[in-house]
Amino acid sequence: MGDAKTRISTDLQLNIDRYQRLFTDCADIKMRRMALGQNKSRECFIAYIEVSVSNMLLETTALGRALAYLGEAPDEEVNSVLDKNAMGISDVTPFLYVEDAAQGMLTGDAILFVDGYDKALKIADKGYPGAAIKEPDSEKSIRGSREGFTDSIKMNTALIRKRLRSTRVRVKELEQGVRSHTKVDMVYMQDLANPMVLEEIQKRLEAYEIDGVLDSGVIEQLAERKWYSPFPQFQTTQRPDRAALAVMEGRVVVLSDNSPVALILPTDFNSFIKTSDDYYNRFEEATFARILRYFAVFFSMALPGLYLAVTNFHTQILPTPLLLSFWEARIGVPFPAALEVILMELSFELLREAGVRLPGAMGNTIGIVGGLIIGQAAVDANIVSPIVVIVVAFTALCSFSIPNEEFAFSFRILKFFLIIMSAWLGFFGLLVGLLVILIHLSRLKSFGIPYLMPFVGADLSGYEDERDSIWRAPFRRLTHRPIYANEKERVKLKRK
Amino acid sequence: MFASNNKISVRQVYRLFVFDLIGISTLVLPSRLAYFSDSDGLLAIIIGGAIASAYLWYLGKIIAGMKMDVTSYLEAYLPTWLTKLILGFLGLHAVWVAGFGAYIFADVMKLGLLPEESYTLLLTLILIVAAYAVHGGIESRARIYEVLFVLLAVLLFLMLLLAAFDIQWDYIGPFFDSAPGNTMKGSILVFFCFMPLFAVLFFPAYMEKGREKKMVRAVAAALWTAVFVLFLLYFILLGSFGSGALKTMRYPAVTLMSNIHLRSSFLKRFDAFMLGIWFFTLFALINLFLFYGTELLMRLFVPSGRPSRGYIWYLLGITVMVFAAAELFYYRGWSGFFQNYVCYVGMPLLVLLPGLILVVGKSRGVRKR
Repeated sequence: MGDAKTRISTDLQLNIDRYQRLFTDCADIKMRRMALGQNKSRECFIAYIEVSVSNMLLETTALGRALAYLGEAPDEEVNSVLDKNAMGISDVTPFLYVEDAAQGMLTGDAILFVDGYDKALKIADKGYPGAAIKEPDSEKSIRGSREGFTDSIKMNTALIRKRLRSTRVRVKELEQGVRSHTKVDMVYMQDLANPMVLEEIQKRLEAYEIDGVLDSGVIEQLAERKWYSPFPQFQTTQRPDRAALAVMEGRVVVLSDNSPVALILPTDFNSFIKTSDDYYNRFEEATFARILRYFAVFFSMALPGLYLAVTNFHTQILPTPLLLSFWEARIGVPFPAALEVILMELSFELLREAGVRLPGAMGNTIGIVGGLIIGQAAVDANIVSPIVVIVVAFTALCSFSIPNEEFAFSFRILKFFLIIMSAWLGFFGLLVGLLVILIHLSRLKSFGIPYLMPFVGADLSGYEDERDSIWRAPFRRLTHRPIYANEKERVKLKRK
Repeated sequence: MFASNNKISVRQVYRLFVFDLIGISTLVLPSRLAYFSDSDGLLAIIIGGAIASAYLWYLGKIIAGMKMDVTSYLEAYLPTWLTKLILGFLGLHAVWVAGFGAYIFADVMKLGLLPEESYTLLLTLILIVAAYAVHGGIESRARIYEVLFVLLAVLLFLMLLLAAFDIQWDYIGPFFDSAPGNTMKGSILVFFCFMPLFAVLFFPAYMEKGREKKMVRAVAAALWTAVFVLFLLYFILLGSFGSGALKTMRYPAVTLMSNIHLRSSFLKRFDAFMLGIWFFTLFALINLFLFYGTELLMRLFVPSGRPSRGYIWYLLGITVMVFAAAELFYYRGWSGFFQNYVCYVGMPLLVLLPGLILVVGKSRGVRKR
């Protein structure tokens, strides 16, 4: 940082010495001398990271093609060919400084120095290895696209562009991490994104100087205002269609190199409940699914607490036969009900963690072994009552129904808070706990947008946003963009 | 950005006032109305609503005359000593009412949900949560009730609907049987419970310019929603228990909930769930007065033009005072004293004060700061 840069010289040996000094003890960097021009009198030097450039230098690659062209060009014309970029390839970037050239090589391309030429050229080849496009595991869709983001930021921006073939789509590139030099792209629609939001996002992205950004999660954590909140203030997605939809809503998608997870902002509570499928399916189906998910959100957080409140404090609300069956189920269980619920919930979280860490097939086995066999054994051994197993299983089912993993995690954590409150003060404790969560949510914002939109402040958008909340109006009624969009560009659907 | 302008919408005003008005009125009024005017309590509710409506009309005129919120007007037009005196009185009044609300809240929760638990613990817990909510400012407060509104409205009307099945029509009537004086006493009580309407004078500060008329109309709608709910509840209570039994009950609405049965439901009683309605409505009332108490206390020491710091300390001070008041109401039986204060001091002053402030202000012109 802040070191003086070295201008590239016309003396090739000088450039080679400087370049090699930068990459001393780097076995993965390949550096080769070659001869160019018809008479092979122009020496050149090529440097690249081993796996990012084909060793064969095939004619089909930009680099191979460039070298072949230069190999045939008259010696005295090499400089002018390079200056005019007359090699018939597009992806060539000239650099004036050795350090910039080195940085360019680290993006996965090859660097070419030519004797007597005072610039270095970055020429693209196959680039770093990366995973292929595949459907994201955590955001399955029944009807939508099967494509998911990859580790390559270029591939990811292309996947969004593929869906939004508009000249108004902007991709603003920033660099994060003083050591990792990670590319971070802000993708947005020029006329739809709110300029204030855009400015705020960029300000926050540039607010920290960090060693390295290895995933978009790092950016997310640094840019969040209320870092102590259990609720994510950035929405994440691995689906390009979801990201494209967000861009069309006037939101900004942040992509980080080496991360298949895109960040969408601003966001709100309701956005986490929506899925891509909601817009591809008919409104009745989408509405029904959303209502189910809202119930799932509530029960994934409150069901164990509610169970404790009713069975420990307010048994009068239960009919006698049900109360007796609860009581019978608990006979012989040595733990108090609260401890029993906490132990079961913790065991379940442990199983879940184990299932995630283990390879595919084994992970599934753990689920079956844990859920069925250990659960049954625990009930038979009178360690837990069957009703608690049902409560915990139903809570887990609700938790899995929440479409976003980070969002679901908030409720998994808050569940323990509500268990404690309910175990202490019954239904009163549960209400206090829920009220505290609601107050927290009411104070939460994502880039100036209230987190509880559109349930609050819906009048700001003429109540249009309410049509896409718990209830999803028929598609022809979804005529306006959400509040995130530029105020002058809210209409998205009208009859011709 | 737009979400942090410290302004709230007309819909939020409506929903906030509905919560503020139905909390104490639906809990405290039914037994008192039965005591004064039996079945004519229904008439008292309508007359009380009409009086409150006239009071709101009067407050609307005051707002139109002041063209700003009451605290800003006081600072701009009245002498400093008088401003401080009025702010002090209003602040103390807010503490009293919040204390009374907190007392009713903790008492109802103890009675309905946790008879074995300590009153002080419940009170402390709810005041901490209320202070947390107030710390979020008016926007946060408005959002909470905007979200809760539909949920609680559904719960309330479900409760009233279920209770309506058990009405004994013989219990209702006779009408126009009570002495007119007693019916009027009932109406005054109804009006007393709708006194939080006074808070509308603070609201112009939290509204977009030029929306004051809409705001007053929204508060009027909230008032009549509260009158409707109170009327319906009293009607059902009369039909369920008769005015004789109603007089002896402490919180008849809570008793009613324990009697509700839903045919073919697997639950026997709903009272624990239904108490959630009062949990949130009473919380709204405590919140309202805690919020204004803090604002007024702060204005007493830091006029609105100056930068204010240490909001949290003012909030903490008011919360402690509210706690003390609620403790006195419960352990020393000061609620009778509070009712006398409201009847003979609070209510007359809150009726006269806005007019007096406007008259004095108009006669003096703008004060130099």
